Parts: sequence; C-alpha cells; structure tokens
Amino acid sequence: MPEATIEAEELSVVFGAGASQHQALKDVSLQIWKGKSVGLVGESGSGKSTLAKVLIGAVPITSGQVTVGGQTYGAGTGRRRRTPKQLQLIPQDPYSSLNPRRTAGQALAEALDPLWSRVSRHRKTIAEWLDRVELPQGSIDKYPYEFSGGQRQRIAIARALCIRPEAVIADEITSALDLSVQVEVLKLLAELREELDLTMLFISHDLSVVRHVSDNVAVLRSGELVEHGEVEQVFTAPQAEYTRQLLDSVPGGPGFAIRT
Amino acid sequence: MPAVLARPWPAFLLRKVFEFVLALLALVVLTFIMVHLVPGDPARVIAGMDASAEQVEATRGRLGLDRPVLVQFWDYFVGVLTLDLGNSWRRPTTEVADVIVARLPFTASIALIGIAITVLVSLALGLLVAGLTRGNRNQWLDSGFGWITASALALPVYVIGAILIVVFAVNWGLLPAGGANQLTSYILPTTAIAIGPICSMSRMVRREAAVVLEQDYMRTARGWRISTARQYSKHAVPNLLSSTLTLSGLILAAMIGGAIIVETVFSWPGLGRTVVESIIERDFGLTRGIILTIGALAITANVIIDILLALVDPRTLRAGKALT
Amino acid sequence: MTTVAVADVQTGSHSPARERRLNPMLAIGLGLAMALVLVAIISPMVLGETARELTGDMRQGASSEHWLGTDEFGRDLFARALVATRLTLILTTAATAIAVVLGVVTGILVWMMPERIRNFVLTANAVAVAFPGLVLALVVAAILGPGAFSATIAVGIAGIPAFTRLAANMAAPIMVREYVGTAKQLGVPRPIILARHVLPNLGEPLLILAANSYAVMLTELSGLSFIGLGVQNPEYDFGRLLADALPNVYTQPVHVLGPSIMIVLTGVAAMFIGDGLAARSNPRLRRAVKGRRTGTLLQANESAAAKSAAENDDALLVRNLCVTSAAGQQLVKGVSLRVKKGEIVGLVGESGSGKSLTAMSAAGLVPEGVTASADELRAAGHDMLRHPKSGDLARDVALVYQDPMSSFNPALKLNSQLTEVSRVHLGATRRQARLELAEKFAQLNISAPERRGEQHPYELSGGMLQRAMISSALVTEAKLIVADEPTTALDVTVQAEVLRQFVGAAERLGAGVLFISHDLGVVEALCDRVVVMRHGEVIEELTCDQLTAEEVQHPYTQKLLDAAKFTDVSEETEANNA
Repeated sequence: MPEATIEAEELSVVFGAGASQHQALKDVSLQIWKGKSVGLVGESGSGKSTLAKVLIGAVPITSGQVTVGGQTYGAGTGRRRRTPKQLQLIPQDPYSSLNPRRTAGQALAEALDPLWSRVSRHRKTIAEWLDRVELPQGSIDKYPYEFSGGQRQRIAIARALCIRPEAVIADEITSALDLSVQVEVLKLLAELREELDLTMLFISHDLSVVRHVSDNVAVLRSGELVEHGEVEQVFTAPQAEYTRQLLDSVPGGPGFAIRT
Repeated sequence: MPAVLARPWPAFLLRKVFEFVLALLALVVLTFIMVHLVPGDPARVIAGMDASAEQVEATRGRLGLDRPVLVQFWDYFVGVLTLDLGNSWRRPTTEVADVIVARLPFTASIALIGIAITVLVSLALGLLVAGLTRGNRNQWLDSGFGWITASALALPVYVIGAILIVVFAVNWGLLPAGGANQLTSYILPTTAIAIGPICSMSRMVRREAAVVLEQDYMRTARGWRISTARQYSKHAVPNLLSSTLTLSGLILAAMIGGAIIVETVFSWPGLGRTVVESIIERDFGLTRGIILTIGALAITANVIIDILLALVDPRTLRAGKALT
Repeated sequence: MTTVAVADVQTGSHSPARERRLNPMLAIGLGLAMALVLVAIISPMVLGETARELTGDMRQGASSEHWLGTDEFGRDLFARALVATRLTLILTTAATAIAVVLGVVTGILVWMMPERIRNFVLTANAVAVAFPGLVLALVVAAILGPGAFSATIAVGIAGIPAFTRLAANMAAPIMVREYVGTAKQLGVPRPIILARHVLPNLGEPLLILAANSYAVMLTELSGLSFIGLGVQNPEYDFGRLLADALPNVYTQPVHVLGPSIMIVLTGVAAMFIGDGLAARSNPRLRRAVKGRRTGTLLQANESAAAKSAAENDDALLVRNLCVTSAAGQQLVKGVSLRVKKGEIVGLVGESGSGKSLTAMSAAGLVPEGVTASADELRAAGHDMLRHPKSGDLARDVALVYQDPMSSFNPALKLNSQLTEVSRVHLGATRRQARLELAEKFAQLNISAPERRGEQHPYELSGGMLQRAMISSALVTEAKLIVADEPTTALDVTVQAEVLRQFVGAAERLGAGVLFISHDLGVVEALCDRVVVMRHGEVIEELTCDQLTAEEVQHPYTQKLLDAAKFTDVSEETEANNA
C-alpha cells in the first residue's frame, strides 16, 4: 500500500460559537499519496482554503485529525508548527506574496536561511531555481515591482520548492492572472511536478484548470467532500450530482447552454 | 449565554457598557493615585513649608490622609458614586461639586459648539475640494489646500486667540475680548478652538472622499445620470460618515484640551482656567475633581460616538471598533 | 492640542522608481528647520546678554533700537524671542522622542503578544487615545508640580497612546500579508519577522507622523508654558513669552508678535516637512491637466458626423473612438463598433486591452482623468456627442458592472439605490418605484423579492446582487445594455444561472447588448458576434459560428483560443454525455 504524505481523517472545523457558529469543514477524509497530486475544487465558501490552513497549522482543528509528513495533529495540537520541510504553501495573491522591499533573491534566501536570509551564501542555488521557473537572467537582484503578476507567482513557486519540501499546497495560484499567463504558469507547475515527483494539493475554484496538474480530484461543497476520484474518472463519469453541475457550468463545455 | 446576547445589538451594547464602566473605574483609580504619587508629603505641601509639625498633622487629619490608603480609596470611591467630590483642599468651605456645576456649562458649551461647527464645515469643505480636484484637475486648489491647512495646523489655539483679539477686539472693537457676559462672547473662543480641528478634519474628509469618489459604486451612481449634487450628498456622504465620526471622537478630545487653553486667553469662566489655577495652587482636591469630570465626559462622548457609528454602519457591530 | 496628527500614510507600498526629488513644501520645511536650529545654536551666544539685560526702557513699543519693544523689566523682546528658540526646540524634541520611541515600541510589541492580550491592550489604548491628551498632561503636571521638566514628560507621555495605535494599526495590514504568513511558515522567529518585514515598511510613514506630531507637541508644550504649568521664570520659551505679552495686548500689541511668529514658523517647518514627505512617498500623477476638463466626450471630426446624421436603428454605433489619458497616452485607438437591436456583441481582450474603456465611453461614462473623442457615437438612438438629456440616457442605457460587491453602495439599501432612475428621471413615487422593482426581482428569480429591497448589499450573495442590477434595466425598459464582465466575480455554477437570466432579460426587452469578457467560452455561448481587442485596437471581428469553427485570422485570437482550449473540459465530458 502506498504511503500517504498528507492525510485528513474525519476532519471537522467549526468557527465561532452560539448563533454565529459556522461549520467550515465537516468530516472530511482525504489522502494524498506520496508523489501524487490532488486537485481540490470548490466554490467560494466551500471550505477549500480552510482545509489548506488546517494542513499548514494556521487554523485549529475542532475534531478529527490530519497527518502531515508523518506527524499527526488533532484537536489540541492542530496549530503546532509544521517544519518547513514537511509542507509549503504557495499563496494566492501575487501582489501580497512578496515583500515589496525585498528582492527576488532575498525572498528565496529567506526560505533557505530563515534566520539570516543571506543571499550571498546561497546565490548559486537561488539563481538555479529562478532559472528553473523560467525567469530572465539577473532576476535575483530585482524588486517585485519589476515583475509581472505571472512572474511574481513563479518566484513564489521557486521560494516554496527550493527547500525541496515533501509536499506543497498551491492555493488558487493562478486565479488573479490573465488566461494566457495562467496557462503558462500551469504548464510550468505540471513540468516541475513531473521533474521533482512532487506531492501536491492544488486548490482551485475552476474545475478545468486542475486537470493538468492533478492525478486525483476532490470536490468540496459547503465543507463536505462530495466526490473524490481519479481525474479521468471524475471528468468522464462524475458520481456526484454537484460535480456534474460544476462540469456543466464550465464555459465552453457541452453542458454550458445559455441561449435556448 | 442567553440567546438575546448573541444578537448583534444587545451584545454590542453590553460590550460598550463594560468598556465604559472599566474606563470610568480606571479614571477613578488614576485620579486617586495622582494625589499619592506627589513627591514628598501632600499635607506638608498644603500646610506650607514653614508650618509646624502639629499644623501639618492637623492638615493631614483634616484631609483624611492619616487613614489607611484603602480606606481613603473606599471613601473617595463611594463619594464619586454619590456625586460628592469632597471639599477644596485650599478653601475647606468650598465644595468641589459646586465649583464644577458652576463652571462646567461654560466649557461644555464652547466644546460642543466647536465640534458641531468642525464636523459640518469639514464635511462640506473636504468633499468640495475632493470633488474639484478629481482626475488631477484644479491643481492650484490641490496645492493651495495643502499649504493653507498645513500652515493653519501649525497655529496654536492661543496664537489664533491672540490674533483674533488683536483684530476683532482691539483694532476693530467689534467683539468682546474676554468674559462670557453676552452671546457675542462665544464667537471668538469657539472660532479659535475650531480652526485647527477644521483643518485636520477637512484634510481627512478630503482624503477619504478622494477614495470614495473613485469607488465603483460612485461610477454606478454616475451611470444613473443623476446630478452631481445628488451623487455626492446621497451616495458619497454616507460612506464618509464612519471615518468622520471616528475622527470626531479624537477631535473632541483635542478640543477639550483647546478649551482649557483658550479659556486663559479669553478670560473664560470655565473649568479649564479653574483646573489650571488649582494645579498652580496645588489644590489636589479640586484638581482631581475636575480631571475626573472632564475625563468622564470624554469617555461618555466616545461611547456615544461608538453607538452612532454602529447606527450609521451596522457592520461595525461585529467588528467592534472601526479602524481609523 | 487643537490638532490631531493625521498624516497621509500609505503602508506597504514601495516603488523605488518614484520621485525622489525635493518638493517645494519639503524644501521650505527643511530650510526653515535648518534656520531655526541655527538660531537656536547661535542666538543664546550672541544675544544672550541682550535678552537678559535690564534697561530703563520699560514696556516700550517697536523702535529702531528694540525692534519688538521691551518688556516690563526693559529687556529686548526681539532678542528674547530668538534666544527662547533653544529651550523650545530642546523640550519639544525631547517630548516627541518620548512619544515616538515608547509609542512605536509598544505598537510593535503588541504584535508579539497572543491575540487576546493584544486585543485587550489595543482596546485599552483606544480609550487612552480618546482621552484628552492635555488632561493627561495636567495629571502629570499636578503630580510633579509645574515646571519645564514635568511639562516635557507630561506632553511626551500624553502622546504615547496615539503613536502606539498608529504603529499597531500600520503594522496590522502588513501582518496579514501573505509574505509574512510565508515567513512564519518558514520558521522565521517573530522578532525577526517584525524587524525584516514590518519595520522597514513603517519607516517612512512613521517619519511623516513624527514630523506632524512635532508641530502638535510644540503647541502643547508652549500651551502648558502659556497657562503657567510649563517653563517657569526666569527661564522662558515661546509660550512663556507669549503669556507675559498677552495681558498687555491692548497697550502694546506688538509684544505678542515675536513669540507668535516664532511658534508659527517652528510649527510650519514641522508640518511642511511632514506633508512634504507624505507627498513624496505618495506621488500621484503630478502633471497638471490644462485646458479642457477631462472625463468628457468630444467630437473628433465634424464633417464625418454630418454624413450620418440620419436616424438609424442600431442600439449602439461607434465610429473611430479614441481615448487618451491625461498624460497623453493613447488607451483606445480608433475603435468602431456596431450593435444592432436585439443583438448580443461580445468584446473580448485581456487586461489592458482597452475593452472596458471602450464600453464605458460608448455608454457616455468616460472615467475621470481621460478624454474620449469619436467621429460618431450613438447609444440607444441618442447622439452622445450632442449632450443628450440625462433622463433619456438613464432610461435607455443600462449598465451591469464587474464586481457586484463593489458596484453597489455598501451604505445604502438596495431600494434606495436601484430606484434612483425611476424616481429621479421617470417621476415615480417612492412606493411605486419599490413595487415595480420587487416585481422585476421576482421575474429574475430573486428569492423573497419584496424583502430584498430593504436589505443592504452585504446581506446578499454576489449572484443575487448581479440579478438585482439587471432588474433595474428591466424597470426602465432599456434599449442598450452594456455589461462589463458581469459574471467574472461569481462562482461558476452561479455564473451560468446569472447569464441565463441576463440573456432572458435582454431578449424580453429586445435590447442590444455589448458584453465584455475575457472568457471565450462564455462569449461563444452567449453572443451573436465577437470583437477582439488588443492594445486599444480592434484586431478581429468574428461571427459566433466562425469562432466555434476556429476560423480565425489573427494569431492573437488563435493564442486566446489555445489558452481557452487548455482549460477545455469538453473532450472528457463528451464521452460522458454520449
């Protein structure tokens, strides 16, 4: 049996108390096998970002547990810190993911050397990684404002991957980009995944973009997992009514009929 | 927790009352401690440097300073609750509460008139300047407004007061230079304390309005082709009220300070001049009574402003305090 | 004390490319400050004797010997005003330093605390900020007794809560930035995060605030001296001098001049430095717009307009539309468009292609800061270049915007917003307008239609709001609907439903629709014709059938199609449907 790098068991998360109580996740069980990629799809309020936050330890667990890199976290220990090697998160917004006053090199150096963030000591590794994500020569000393949105996301990807983590979470990393740029970033991510044999959770609101970077697809709705299966199977023979509805809503898809 | 307290309004009011009581309690403690932090012996200060040991002890007994600290605090606390603030330390027959009742209306009136003028003028002025300088138009107004308000903000209230007296009372003889004998006496003091706040508040309104006017919903309003006046008054102003109200709390605090100073300039018979005199005379009984009163009024005013904020913008009910 | 330091502060924005020049305000402020420091250093050495010297000429007015007259002891007031600069600057600087250092340290340190304690400290601090600073200063003065030292401490301490709050507030938006989150995750210790990511982004705003506060502290300190609680005789600062001069203002008004002018000059120096720094760190486009007002539509070519003055049936006709920014940049370069009655035309392009500008200008809503011109521009039968009546336009041209959350006014109820056109232009009463709106809400499948109007926008979902916006087009029976990416901000399952309602409404009205989108899939399913824009120009026009068959000429259109195909799910789902 393959080994799961990330695993959630009967995971529930409840925010607030009393009348304003809100259940963000309800009994979610999900495995990501080592070296595999799961695409997590859901609309706003489905709980997909909450799941990412639980996995990195930013949100406490109400009940159930998660396993990340061999460590298990439960109701009392949910917010215990994960080591950077266990799991990395690539954030969503290209404009807030980089400190405007620090160069691309410094951003990567912080990952390689959290305490001192010395660029000089890791210059070779940083340059290699920036090259790997197809940024132009000399990017290492440039500031974020000198890059486009797509390029910033490439830097964020390099920062997350350069310490060779066991697993990464990509949270809507292309949603703020133009479609053609989105495609380039997705292609890059798909390539890197092959190359590095990455374990990945790829989160998106858009069913169509997860296809190229995932082995499995999980569909969340209002905090509940409604479907989980292999990509081809989910796309060709969805089990849940909601998944079918999602597929039919993708513009350009055959189910997408506006004018009758 | 009772269900009613989970609803936004009761929960909000409960929190506000709690904050209010806590702040008042802190104020009572602060004013009590104030007397005990005085370096040296308060009784000696009151009795005079050349008083004999017996005289000092007698003074100490009169002021009740010979009892244990906690007993003193309890007496003070109970006194505050029953609105009995004790007697002046310098003039034992004068009741502090009487002084405050006699003087407070003069200070409160110029502060309230001042804040009302400030809010109205600043909203109009800030919105007007923001509207006229949209899209980099009227650059002269943009920089002129900046230069004038920056310069006026550097004018202390007593300098403004002095200038007003020289111009309107001395040179032209139009308005009285001091006292509170007639209605026209209010004009110069309120003008003096309002000029600074008008500058800082209209700058804030202008900056906020510049942001509001560029919002998508203002474009939506433009899409309905309604008049500019209606766009501004109906669609822009409600979005400026929150920040204006929040700032007016701070301005009110500043204005109370301004009133204290300005009373000296215009020989105004308010609390400000009294408290300054009491500090110079080291009449701690009177000082702490007045500081307690002014502080309590400032705290009350801010609670009222918070409630108004919640009425204007129901979203603040949940968030607690609006950020400025 | 009548002033509250409110600086123009922008946190987190940083572009080294911005103007680093001295602006006039900053230059004057710095020049004044330098001059005052010089006066403070030199005048006590040179004029110290004159300022102390008791002469027989008491209470004199201005003369060539004593420029600002003499006081009751015959001391030269001009000399005294200059000499007082040193003490005033020293005390003010000390008070500002106390407030800034202690305030900023606390404001940053609260971010090291657990959330509960932080919230408590910040709430307590908020109460302290709203407490009159001068009264706090009076407490300190009452404890320590009147004097220069106690006044400085008093003003400094009274200023701490304001700086604590400002530092904490400015740090707050940075603390939630994703790069701070990433740093936490990477195991960077909190103190290093604060030093590496937060403090550098606070430096400039804090400097601005410190400068503005210097002016406030100056007035407070001089104010304390003025009322007799600060500097005591025989020492003197500006406030003390003014206090001595004011009682004689009727007989010798010139005596108040010296200290007043010095206080104002010092305050102006500090304010100008603060405002100048703010203006420099927050540069707007400083190019003055001369001549015509921007945000207007102009006739480009008179003779061309005359040619087609005849009425036509189109919902929208645009010929040679150009949009220019205030800086002279061409944002839209000669676009021509036509939307027939009952036709849906898609306008496609990526961000920066000028598609939104084109559509807004066509609807007569040229944004501030740009100028639009066209040979001909007719919307819903109105000649937009000839100032049509605003009431007619409001009735016949309806708009639906991109983000429903931001295009509705958050402070007003839906009724109050969506009945504007009926009430202002069509003369409906409030009641009529509301009933009509509720009826249209129902037609667009909005649940509980009669209740929705009394709600605020934040109480409704995005899809609901967008349908509410469409319903206002139904109310006025619009002839042209301009929709700017109306479903981009919505979830996909909601998008399809809103688009269906939208098309249904347009068909019911027989209106022409200009539909802007970046999504070829949506456009293909929705439109009769497609216009592709790039860099402000129309590069291709296609019928929907041509698009489906991929009969495209321009390589850019092909690129867009390829990108769309990358995310196409049809191959898989076809098998499923078959």
